[in-house]
Amino acid sequence: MVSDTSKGIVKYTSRDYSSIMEDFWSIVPTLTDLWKPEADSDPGVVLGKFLASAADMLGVNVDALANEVFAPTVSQRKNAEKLFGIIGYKLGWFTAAKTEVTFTNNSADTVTLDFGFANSNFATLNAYTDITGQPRVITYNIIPLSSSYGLYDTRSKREVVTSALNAFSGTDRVSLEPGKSVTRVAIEGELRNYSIPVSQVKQNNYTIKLPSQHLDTTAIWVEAITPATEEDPSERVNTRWTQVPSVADFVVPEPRFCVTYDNYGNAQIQISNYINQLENYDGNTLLIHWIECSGVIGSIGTDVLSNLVMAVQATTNPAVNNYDPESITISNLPNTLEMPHTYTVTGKSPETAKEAYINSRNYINTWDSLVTLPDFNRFLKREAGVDTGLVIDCQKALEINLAIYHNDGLTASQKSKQYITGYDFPIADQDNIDWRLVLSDIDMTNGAPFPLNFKTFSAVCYAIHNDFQDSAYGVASVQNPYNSGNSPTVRDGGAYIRYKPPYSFIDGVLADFRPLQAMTVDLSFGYARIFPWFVVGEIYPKAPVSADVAAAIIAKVKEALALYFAPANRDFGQKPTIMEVVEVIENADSRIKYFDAGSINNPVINWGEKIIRNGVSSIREYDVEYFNPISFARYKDTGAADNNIRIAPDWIVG
Amino acid sequence: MNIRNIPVPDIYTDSQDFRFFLDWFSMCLEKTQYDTESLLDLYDPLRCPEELLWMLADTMGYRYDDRLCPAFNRLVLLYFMSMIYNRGSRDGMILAADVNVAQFVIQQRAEEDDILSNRLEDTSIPVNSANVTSDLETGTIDVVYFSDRIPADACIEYVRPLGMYVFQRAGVRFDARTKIAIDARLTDTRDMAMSFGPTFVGHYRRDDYARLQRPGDDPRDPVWYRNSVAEGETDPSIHPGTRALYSLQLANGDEVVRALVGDIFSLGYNPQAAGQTMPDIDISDPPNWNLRYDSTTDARITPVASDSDLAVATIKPAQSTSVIAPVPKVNDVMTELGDPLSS
Repeated sequence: MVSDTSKGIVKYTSRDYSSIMEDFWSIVPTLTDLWKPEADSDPGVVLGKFLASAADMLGVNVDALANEVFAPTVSQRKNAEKLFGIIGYKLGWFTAAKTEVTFTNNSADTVTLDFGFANSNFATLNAYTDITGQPRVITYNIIPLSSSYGLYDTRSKREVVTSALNAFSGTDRVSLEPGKSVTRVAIEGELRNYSIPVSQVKQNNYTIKLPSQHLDTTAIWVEAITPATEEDPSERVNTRWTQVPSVADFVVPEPRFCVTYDNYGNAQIQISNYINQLENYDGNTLLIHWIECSGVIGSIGTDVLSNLVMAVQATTNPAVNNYDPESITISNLPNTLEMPHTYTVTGKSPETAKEAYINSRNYINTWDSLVTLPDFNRFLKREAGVDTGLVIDCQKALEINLAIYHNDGLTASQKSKQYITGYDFPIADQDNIDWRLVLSDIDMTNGAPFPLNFKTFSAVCYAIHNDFQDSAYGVASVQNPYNSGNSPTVRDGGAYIRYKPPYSFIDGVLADFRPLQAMTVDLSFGYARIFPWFVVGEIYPKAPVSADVAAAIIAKVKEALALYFAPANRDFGQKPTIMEVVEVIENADSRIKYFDAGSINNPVINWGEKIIRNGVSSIREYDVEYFNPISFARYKDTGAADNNIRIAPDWIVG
Repeated sequence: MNIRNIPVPDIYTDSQDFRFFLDWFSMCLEKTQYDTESLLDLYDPLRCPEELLWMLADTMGYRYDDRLCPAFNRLVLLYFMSMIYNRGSRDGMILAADVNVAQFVIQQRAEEDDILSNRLEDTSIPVNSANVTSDLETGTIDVVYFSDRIPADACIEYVRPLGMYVFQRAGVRFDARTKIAIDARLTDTRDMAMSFGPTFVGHYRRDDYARLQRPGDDPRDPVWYRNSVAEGETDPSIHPGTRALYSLQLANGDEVVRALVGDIFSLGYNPQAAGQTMPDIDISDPPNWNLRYDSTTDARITPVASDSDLAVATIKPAQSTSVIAPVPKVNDVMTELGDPLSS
C-alpha cells in the first residue's frame, strides 16, 4: 500500500488488475489439471481478464472512497463539508467583498446623513473599472447602523454579520459637525429578494432554494410578511428571523434560520421548524434578502468609491441627506488584501476541498480559545494579511537553543550564530530559576553556553506581511543588513536582515487577539531573520531554441520559482533545497530537459541579493550560518536583466 | 455475505471447470469485499493501516511522530482528543505525561516483535506515573516521570499552556502519604510454576476490584491476557483479580522499579561508608503531625483554593461536634435504594 497525496490518491486496497492476473496464472494449475490456458483468446482467459478488470474498477472506487476519509486527501466539497464540520470548520461560499467607508464633512456647516434602508434599497456607492477591457460598475451597499470594528470584535470568531444589527433599519441618522466623520460597512453586490409562502416552506421540508448561488452567506436576511387584509390593507413585517451558524442552534425555540448546502453543494436556506409553533402563520410569506455578489472581482482599491446615492431621499424628508455632494469626502479601505481587525474582506469564490483542508488546519482543535503553542501558531497564520508566521514562547526558545547545543554536526562558532538571543526574544529581568539544577547535563562552569533565561508569560510572533511589500498599513520595519556581534559595519555583507511587519498591522493583529481572552501570555512581535537568496544555473532545453523562446522560458522559470518559494507557500525555518529548485525549474516548462544545478564552487542557491548603490549594482551576501527556526529564506531574483538563470548558450540558435 | 456462499445449482458444481471459475471469482473479489466492509476502520486509530496512519493523525490535528513506532502513535491518537479537551490544565499535562511514559513498554515490545511495532495490544496508559507541579511565581512547570529515564516527548506541546517553562525529568515524586513498599520474600518452591508474567503498569477499573470479590466469574478484560513469547500459552489458572491488584502497586514496569530502587530505597541497600554521618533532626521545628482529626490543622497545612474548600480533610466539620467525636468524611450508609452516594 502506497500513499501519494501529492496527486490526491490514497492507495488503500492492494487489489488491482496486475495483482489479480498474477493470482490467476498462479492458481490455475493448483485448481485444475485439465485446463492449461496459454492463448489470450482462450475463453477462460478472456473471462479471467474481464473479471480482473471489473475487480480493478471496484478497487479504484474503494481507493476513491478512502481518499474522502482523510483531511489531506478529501477531494469533493460535499465530503469536505462533513469532514471539517466535525471540527467546527465551515467551508467558505461566495464571499462578497466588504470594506469600511468613511464619510467626512468638509463643509463649514453641520450635515445630517441618513443611511437608512428605504424603497427596497440600501444607500449605495459605486466604483468604476475597466480591468477586463469592458467598463464595469462595482456597487457597494452601505449597511445601516454598522460601524468599524470595535475593541471586542475579532476576526477569529467568525460572526454572522447579519445577526448583530438591524440592517433594514429605516433610519440611521448621523449629524456630522464640520470636520467630523462617520464610518459604515459596505458590502459589494446587488440586493436581491425572493418571497415564498410559509406553507410551501413547510412542504419543502423547511428548506428554501434560492434562484441564485452567487450569494454571500453572511449577508442574508429573512423576514415574515403578513398579508394585507381588509382591515389592514398594508403588508407589514411580522417576524424578523435570526441567522445562526448551524442547524444545531435550532434547539432554541426562536425564529432562526441558517445557510446549509444540499448534496450537490448548492447553498440553500434552512428554516427552524419552530415555524410550526407559530400560530396563524401559514398565510404569511417569507421574504429573503441577499447580496448577489461578484466574488473575487468585486474587490476594490483605496478611495475609489464615489457616487453616493442615499436610499432615504431628501425629497421625502428634507431634514436629512440635504447636502452638497462636494461637502462630503468619501474614503474607503482597500480590500484587495485582507487586513486584521477591520471589516475589509476580500471577495472570494467558494472554497474547494483542498483550500478548505489548508484553511481548516488553522482552526482545528483551538475551539475558539488559545492555550497551547499550536493554537497560537494557528491563530497567527489565519490572521488576515499574514503570509506565514511563527509563534514561540520561552520554553520553545529554550528547546531550540538546546537542540542547537546538542547538534554534533555544528561547530561552536556555528552554534553561537544560530542560538536565539536577547535580540530575538526578550530576556527576563531577573533570574528566578536555578539553571544549573534544571540543565544539569550542561557544563555551566563558565556560565551558560547560550541564552536561556527567556521571559516567561510572553510569546513572540514572527510574521511576513503582504509578501514583504508595503500595504495600506504602512512600511515594514527592516534593519538591513544586521551585523551580529561587535563586527564593524560591513557595507557589502552582513549576517541577515531583521524584519518586522508594519506597526499598524501589528496593532491590528493584537486587537484581534485581545477579545479571545487568552490570558496566559502577552503577545508581541519580534524581528525575524530574513535571508534573501537567488538561483544561478543553466537550463538545457530538449531542442535548440531561439533567443526569444529562451527569454520566454526563463521568464516562466523565474515566475515558477517566485510562486513556489512565495512566503504564503513556505514556513519559517524552512531552507530551500537544491532538489526543490531543480524540480521547480524542470517542471516550469515542457521544453526544459535538464537544469544544471552547478557545483560546490558555483552553488545553485546563493545567499544574497542584488543592490544598486550610486548606479552601481553589486551582490550583498548574507551569512546563512545564522539561519535558525525563526528565520525565513526569501526568494529574491536579481531581475529580468540578469543572466543568473540562463539557457545554455550552445542551445540558443539564430 | 461470503462470496463463496452464493448459491448455484448443484449440477454446475459437479463440473471442475465451473468450480474453478467459482473459486476464481471469489478470490478476485474477496479482498475488495473485505476492504470495502472495513473502510470505516480508516477512522480507527487501532485499525487504520500503518501507511495511512499519518493522515488520520493529520486529520485529527496531531503531527505523526516519526521517532516512535506506529503502535505508540496509535496510543497517542486514542488519547489525543482528551488531551485537547484538557489542554492548558494540570489534568491535561498529567495525561500527556502518562502517555509519554507508556512508550517504554510499547517501544520495547516493538523492538522484540515487528508485528507489535505496528499493532497496539494494550491500550491502557500507566496512570499516576507522572507528577506535575507548577509554580506561577517563576513561570515553571515541573514534570517528573516515575521512571529512570526521560521519555521522548510526543504530547506535552499539545497541552502545555503557553508562556511557562516545562522541565521534564526522570525520578520519583509522590504524595508522602502514599505507602510504597518493595517486598523481598522467600518464594515457596511449589509456587514457582505459577507465573504472573510481566505485569504492566495499567489502568485499573471498578470491575477489577469486583473480580477480587467474586473469583468465580472470569470475564477477563483482554488487557490482562498474556500472549508474550515468555509465557507461552495463556494460563487460565492465573487469578485475574490478583493480576489487577499487582498492577495497582505500580512497581512493575522496569523503569518504575529502577527509579524506585535507586532513588528511594537505596538507603541501607549497601553498607554505609564508615565516615558517613546523617544530619541531625532539627527539633526546634517539630514535624507537624496531623492525624487528620483536627480540621483546623488539616485546613492550615493543606494548600486549598479557599478556606471553605476542605477537599482533603477527612472529617466533616459540620457533623463533628468536637475533636473527640469526629465524623469521618466518608459516604453515608446507603440505607435505601436511591440514597445519594455522596453528601
